[in-house]
Amino acid sequence: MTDQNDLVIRLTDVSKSFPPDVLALRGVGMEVGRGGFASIMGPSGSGKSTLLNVLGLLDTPTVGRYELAGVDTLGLSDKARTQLRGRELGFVFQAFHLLARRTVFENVVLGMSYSGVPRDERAARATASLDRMGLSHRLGFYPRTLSGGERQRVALARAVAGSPSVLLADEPTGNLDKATSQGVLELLGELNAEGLTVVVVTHDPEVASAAEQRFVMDDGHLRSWTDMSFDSARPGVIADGVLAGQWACGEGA
Amino acid sequence: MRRPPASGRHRDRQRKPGGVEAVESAESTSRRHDPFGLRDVLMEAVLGLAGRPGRLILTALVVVLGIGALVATVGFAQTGARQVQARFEAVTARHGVVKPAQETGMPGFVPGVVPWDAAERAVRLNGVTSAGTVAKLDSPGLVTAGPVIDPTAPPTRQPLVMAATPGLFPAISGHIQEGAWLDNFHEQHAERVAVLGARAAQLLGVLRVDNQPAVFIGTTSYTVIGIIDRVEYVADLLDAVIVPQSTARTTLGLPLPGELHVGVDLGAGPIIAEQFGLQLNPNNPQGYDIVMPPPASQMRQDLAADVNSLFLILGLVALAIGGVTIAVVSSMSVMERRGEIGLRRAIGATCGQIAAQFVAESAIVGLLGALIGAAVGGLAVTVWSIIRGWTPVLDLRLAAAAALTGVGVGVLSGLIPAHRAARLEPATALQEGT
Repeated sequence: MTDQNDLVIRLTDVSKSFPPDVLALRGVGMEVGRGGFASIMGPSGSGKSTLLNVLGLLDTPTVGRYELAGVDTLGLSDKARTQLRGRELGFVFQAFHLLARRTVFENVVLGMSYSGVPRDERAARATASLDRMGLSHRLGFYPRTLSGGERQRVALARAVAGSPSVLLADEPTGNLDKATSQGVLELLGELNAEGLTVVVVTHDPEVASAAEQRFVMDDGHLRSWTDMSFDSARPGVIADGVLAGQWACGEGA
Repeated sequence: MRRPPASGRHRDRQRKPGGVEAVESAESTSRRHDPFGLRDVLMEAVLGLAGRPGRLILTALVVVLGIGALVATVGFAQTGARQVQARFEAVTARHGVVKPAQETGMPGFVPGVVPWDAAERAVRLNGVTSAGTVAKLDSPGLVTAGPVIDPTAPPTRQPLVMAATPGLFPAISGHIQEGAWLDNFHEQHAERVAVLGARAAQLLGVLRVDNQPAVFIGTTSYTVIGIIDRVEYVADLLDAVIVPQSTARTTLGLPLPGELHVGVDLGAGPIIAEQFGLQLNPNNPQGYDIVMPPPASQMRQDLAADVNSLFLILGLVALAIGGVTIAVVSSMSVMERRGEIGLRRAIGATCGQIAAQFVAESAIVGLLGALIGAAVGGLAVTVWSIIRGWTPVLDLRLAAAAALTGVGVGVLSGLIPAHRAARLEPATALQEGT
């Protein structure tokens, strides 16, 4: 279904080790097409944070190849990787990471200032992006005055305002209640439907099941889980017993 | 109703092969690119500081103290030096004296003689503002306040008797206590008048001049026309009965005019010194000891340098403390702002841009502190000078130097925190910071 040239993310045999003897990623391969929606599930310590850091160009693989939007990231300098990250990737975090002393609007504008978006376009884009998230009435508010769901939507607005190729969401619903999570998930779905490639890292099977491509991280190995179905009424049965037991601990990102 | 995402590029799932290249090339031609430059760095730094006003004020305050102390001490030093200099220039830098040279024993050397009209000759020189001769009479006779001489009275201390020309008085910066100094009329007509030095007047019991008291030198009476109480040179005058030179020559047998004192313009000393010998006696210009003030500029530098160095060190120590404070507070700030730093890295900030922001923040704190400090220091100098009745001296270059110093201190003390901020691993910073 996905053409070679239409891949936005292509990991080939990626391993990552941390001295002295931690092997966080073991020969991970992953392909996400342009406009795709992928989820990565896994318990704490399974290596999914490491995988996310590699995908987000926040960390480099020890071995293997990573192509992002057609660019081979292996030989890139730190500066070039940073610029690629600013241009091609948008981030959403569990902890939101909004600057407390900037207004909602300023937070979104800041998201574009390092990626080279022309100055005179930033304000209009920020306004449009916040409008898209249904936050046009919150432009001058400070993050502390907003609810958790609103904060995450501000973070989403910031992530997509610069028109990245890929949205990386790290436990986007980890700090939200169920109803609010649902709203954020719907937004992710809509953005994806409009053409944005989305990769979600989560421990919540319900979130994971929203994706069309599902992966499970297990002790450094990444396994595709696309053909398994998810029954929202009985989240416990989505995986084999070992994994389900670990998820039940309710660990965070 | 929701609008599509604010995207400049619309992503189509059905994009043809080679779409990536197409997007890249379309970007490079149609999209402008505004990199994160100096303007953004400064903007972010200002916003970063403005978000923590309390910390900004406290940090800047230490720099204010340092720079303020520096500016104030330099200002005080300059004002003080100017004060000393003003007195110095008023007298030393404007006074010269000419005497017959001492016998050197060298063959062909003849000591010069100060001519009777030396003062007239001297004032013809450019830069000479006043000139007058003064001489002491060796045995003028008994000086008394009345004509009656009581042979049985115990001998009292005798005042000196001196001869002077009218121009002497301004040349030695004298001050009249009462009455007047000798004038040209007295000199031209060899009038029998006298001016008393303050101590001579006391000795003679002359306390006022408006009732035309007389003093006697020998048996000749002289009308007292004035009393002087202060001179910068020839201190003997205060102990003397001073008569016009012409009077002394005709009635008291003054053999020679003695020494010549001149008042000169600031800085004219060296040139006048060269010309003086010729002016007094073209046949024997080497025959005089001529002492003229040094060039003014040289004197000014010597004075200022002497006073400033100690104060400067004190101010610099205060400033160093300010720098350390910035460094410490800024380092704390880096640890506290790990989340923000991680986020900035995630959205595309390079290490250099992170470092630049922290250096810029410190530099702005330094600049702000320096500007306020310079103002406070200047104010302190001004207020102090007003209280003391001095003229405040504030070099404008001092303000510029203070601003530059503040920025310099800020940049220096921001280097370590900036380095720490830039070295943070973005992934770790995002995890640990909130």
